[in-house]
Amino acid sequence: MVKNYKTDLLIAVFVLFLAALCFLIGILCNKSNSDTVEIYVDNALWGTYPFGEAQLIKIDKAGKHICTVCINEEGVYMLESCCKNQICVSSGLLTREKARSSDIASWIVCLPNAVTVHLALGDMQ
Amino acid sequence: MKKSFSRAAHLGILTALALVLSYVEHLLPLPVPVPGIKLGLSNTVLLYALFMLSKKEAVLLMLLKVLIQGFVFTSFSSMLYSLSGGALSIFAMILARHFKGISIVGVSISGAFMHILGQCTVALFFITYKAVLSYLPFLLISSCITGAVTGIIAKTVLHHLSGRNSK
Repeated sequence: MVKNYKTDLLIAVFVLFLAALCFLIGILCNKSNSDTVEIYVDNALWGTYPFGEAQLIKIDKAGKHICTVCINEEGVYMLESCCKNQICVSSGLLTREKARSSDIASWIVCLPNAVTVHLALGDMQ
Repeated sequence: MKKSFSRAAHLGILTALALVLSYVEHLLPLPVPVPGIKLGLSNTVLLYALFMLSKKEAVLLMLLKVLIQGFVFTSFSSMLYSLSGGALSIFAMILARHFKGISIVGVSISGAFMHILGQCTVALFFITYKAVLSYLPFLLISSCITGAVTGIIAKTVLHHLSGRNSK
């Protein structure tokens, strides 16, 4: 019985080690020079927008409107999306403070529409 | 003939149970700051099928759950994520079950880990790798915890059911 738990624990430690490795690689990869909002659609950069300048970015794919990203003085958020789960909309406002707190907090992801919004902070370097 | 009907009925009930658990989970999101993290309660049904029925029925159950869930509750792209995660997860759990040193909790953690890995691999085709890399550490840590929780639940269920069957 004890032997069983030892092997289970080894599996858990292996998974946690991989998580730590990915965390380090993620930090090294996500660096930028100024505060910008990067929007990716289908794995390609859709556009880069200055953070803090109020604007609405409507995203269309194959002639169909899929979502709207809103940037204001406080932050950036997914205003609306045609996806079923609405996880991206419920992610809420992405602020400088949030993005500074952790790397994962600097992203809004809409998996069904393959849209990602990233708040890249220049002072993170 | 009678046995095959009984098996089909058993599989039908398990599929319905897995779908209901998935739906309930969708209605009650976990209070964690990372969006999209789920407990994966339907995995307990899959573990039950793997340990009490057969590999074939567990694979069939996973396919039925993914397809019905995709057509009824989610979209085609979500189905693709579930299918890749589910396929890798069931493959890992079948493999882990054959190792004598691994308990049902370890099998469940292996399944949860591979489920995340499968979904992230598909995500790499659609979203930028930077976003995947940012989410992956948190998803991997959560897979460890949720895998252990569902494994303990499945272990308790199997323990009670095997006790009832032996009476």
